[in-house]
Amino acid sequence: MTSPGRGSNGGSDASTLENLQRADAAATESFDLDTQLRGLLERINQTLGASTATILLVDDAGETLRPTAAAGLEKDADKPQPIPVGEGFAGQVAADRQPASIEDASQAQADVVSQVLKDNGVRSLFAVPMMVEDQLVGVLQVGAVTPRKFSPGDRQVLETGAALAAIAIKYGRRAAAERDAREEAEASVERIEHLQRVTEAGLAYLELDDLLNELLDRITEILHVDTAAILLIEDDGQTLAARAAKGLEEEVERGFRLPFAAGFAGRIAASRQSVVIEDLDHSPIEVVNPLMREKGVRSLLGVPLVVERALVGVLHVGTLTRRSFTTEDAELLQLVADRAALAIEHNRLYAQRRVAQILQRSVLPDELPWLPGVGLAARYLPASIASAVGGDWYDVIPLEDGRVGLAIGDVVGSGLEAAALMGQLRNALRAYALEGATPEEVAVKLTRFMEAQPGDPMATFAYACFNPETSVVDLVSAAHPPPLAVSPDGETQFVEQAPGPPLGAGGAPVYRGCDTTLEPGSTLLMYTDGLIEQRGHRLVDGQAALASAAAAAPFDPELLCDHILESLDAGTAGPDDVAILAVQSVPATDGTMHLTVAARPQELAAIRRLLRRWLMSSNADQVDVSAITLACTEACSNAIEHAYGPRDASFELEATRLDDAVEVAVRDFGQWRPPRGQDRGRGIVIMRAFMDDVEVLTDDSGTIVRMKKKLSDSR
Amino acid sequence: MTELAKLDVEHRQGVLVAHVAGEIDGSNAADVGEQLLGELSNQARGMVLDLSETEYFDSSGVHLLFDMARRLKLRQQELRVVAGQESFAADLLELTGFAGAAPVDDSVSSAVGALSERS
Repeated sequence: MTSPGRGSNGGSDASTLENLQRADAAATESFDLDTQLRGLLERINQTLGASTATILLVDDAGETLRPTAAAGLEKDADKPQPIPVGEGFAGQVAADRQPASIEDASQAQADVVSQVLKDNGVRSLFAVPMMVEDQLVGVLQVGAVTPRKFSPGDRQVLETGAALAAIAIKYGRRAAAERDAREEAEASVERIEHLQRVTEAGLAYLELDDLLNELLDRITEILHVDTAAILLIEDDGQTLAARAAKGLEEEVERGFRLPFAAGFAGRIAASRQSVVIEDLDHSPIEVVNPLMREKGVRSLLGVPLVVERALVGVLHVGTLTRRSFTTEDAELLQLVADRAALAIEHNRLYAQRRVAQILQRSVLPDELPWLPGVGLAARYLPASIASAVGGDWYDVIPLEDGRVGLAIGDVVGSGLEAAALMGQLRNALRAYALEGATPEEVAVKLTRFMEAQPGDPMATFAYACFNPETSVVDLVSAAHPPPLAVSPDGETQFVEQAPGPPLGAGGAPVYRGCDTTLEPGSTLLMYTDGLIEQRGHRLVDGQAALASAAAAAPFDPELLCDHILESLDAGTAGPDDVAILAVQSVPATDGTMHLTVAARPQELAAIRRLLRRWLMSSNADQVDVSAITLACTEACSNAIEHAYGPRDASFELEATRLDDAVEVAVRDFGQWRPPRGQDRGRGIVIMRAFMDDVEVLTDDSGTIVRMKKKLSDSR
Repeated sequence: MTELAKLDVEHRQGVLVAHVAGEIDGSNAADVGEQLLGELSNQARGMVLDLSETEYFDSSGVHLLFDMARRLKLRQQELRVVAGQESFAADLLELTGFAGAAPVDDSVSSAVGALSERS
């Protein structure tokens, strides 16, 4: 382009300046700095009749100039040669912050002209510094292929151009910073959305397989990948099996299995870090899964599935086109892997707990035996924490001589292994007990049995042999919490014997049995430590709580168990298994039943139950059973009402089978008050109506009601 | 804890019908009474207390019935009791002269019929 260039006057310069500014104002709005600067440089060239115009920007350190935009001699910007500030022509302008010119480069100062300019035949140069708020941002330089003296008008054009360029650069930088910030913010929002999609709490309600599939669906969508698969390590620790897949569904359908240590998965497992394969065809890592090649997978990203530092599997995604997965991709995928690993572990524990429970239920007695003279009740509550289930057991073994063996134990540990060992212990104990071994012998034999088991298992255990005829209990303990004896009038006592070491503790242990008498109506409560162990409480406190709960409990064994579990809050959310076994010496032997009962109305139902059972075993018919039970309850109600003092009061009941009749005596130690009003005193009327003989004797020590009824089937 | 007695109530022709299953003795008679009164609205013509499913019933229960009859009378409502023929409950009610306090019927339907006709 030819131009008047040289000698252009100020007036025409002013109008071109206006053009320059107007055009620039429009360009500023486009925010595209490069286009904007180039346009400006072209207009400067045109205005000044120059052959080249260049903008060189100074770096942040203020040490180097870098050609950023050029018009005319494009090559200048194509191969940007950094120029140190202070060196060369432009470097000098930057250092001095003063305009400078070279009229003829072939003459003086030729050495300061860059080779590029020389190559292009540039003869004259004019440059001004670009300033923003007193800060140097760069240099604007024009050149001509002819020697030339630049006029003050040229200088004005150049300085205006430099100012416009500086402003454009300033706004451009700000816009770029804003754009970066906005993009960053958008990226974070997107990232958070992605995170939310893979960590959503609602996912927890899905079944495991549905959850894994849903996670794979989401990550496939988020990462824009074509395949995704979760492979889990099999129980052998050697094989990986596909559990869920997208785009590689055949992996799951065919029951795909891979050697775990090999290839891509092996690398992930070994490094416990994400592994990327950019191109399957040119990868140093071997991909052993033939399905990948069948499907045409090109790039892969894989992360480990880790639960409590143990590797449980691998999650990988792949694309059919070549792709470089980023660190962010790997981070997001790891998050999905962590979520999946958690669910897999929960599911495993849950399944294990279910199996442990089934196993435990199958080895615990379905139904307690009915034995004359023995009242039994038992409860088993699995731990609320899935992994803690298993290991507690109890058993009732009727022995040949009318005695009964009562066992309770707790295998150290939990889960399937504990539950399985418990089953074995139970069988061994049954065998030894039925052979007629004494409790001490049973304990020693079980110790040997435990020592023969692999893995050094341990267990605590208590075994009692109860003789209903003599009410004697022979008890042995292997580090088990002491049983609690509860009398029907609410007195409690722990049966503390010298306990031996736990089963499986090694050595040659000695177990010493102890004899105790279980008075008629009394109950021996055996339990596992889950009942008395509460977080943050001492064991002795737990035992004290148990004793006071038992003292206030009804004496019927079933009701007693319920009451104790309720009082100790053991029925819900226990951290450990709880087993209890209650054995009651039923006060009915040799045709006589004797009971000492706490004077409280809650015991009436249990007394009726015992009486009915005793009467039926004494061959009374249904009508007689009902009549005698009714009359007895009336007498007991009176005794309870008459007893004074809210605590420690008790009364006695004795029922005797005569040849053709039943005689009942109810004795209290309080004072009968005269019947209050018409409503009271009906008890006596009823007793008289349903029994043959009723007499009431009162003395200083209390009152005794004696009643007799002839049985109908013995007439 | 296991409930000794179980209360099952229904409304028939403006009458509260309460079936008592299980056992009533000195330990729970007062509670059963409170429950029954809690079920009885002022709008009801009266209450039919059905003892035909009651497995155990003694003087505590008889006392409860006398008490209920008296309290309903004060509320200007009426009590009728149903006890199975030849049942222990029927015997007890006869023995204690309960018929003087409230009528005893053989069946729930006749008791309800008698109560709804009356008003």
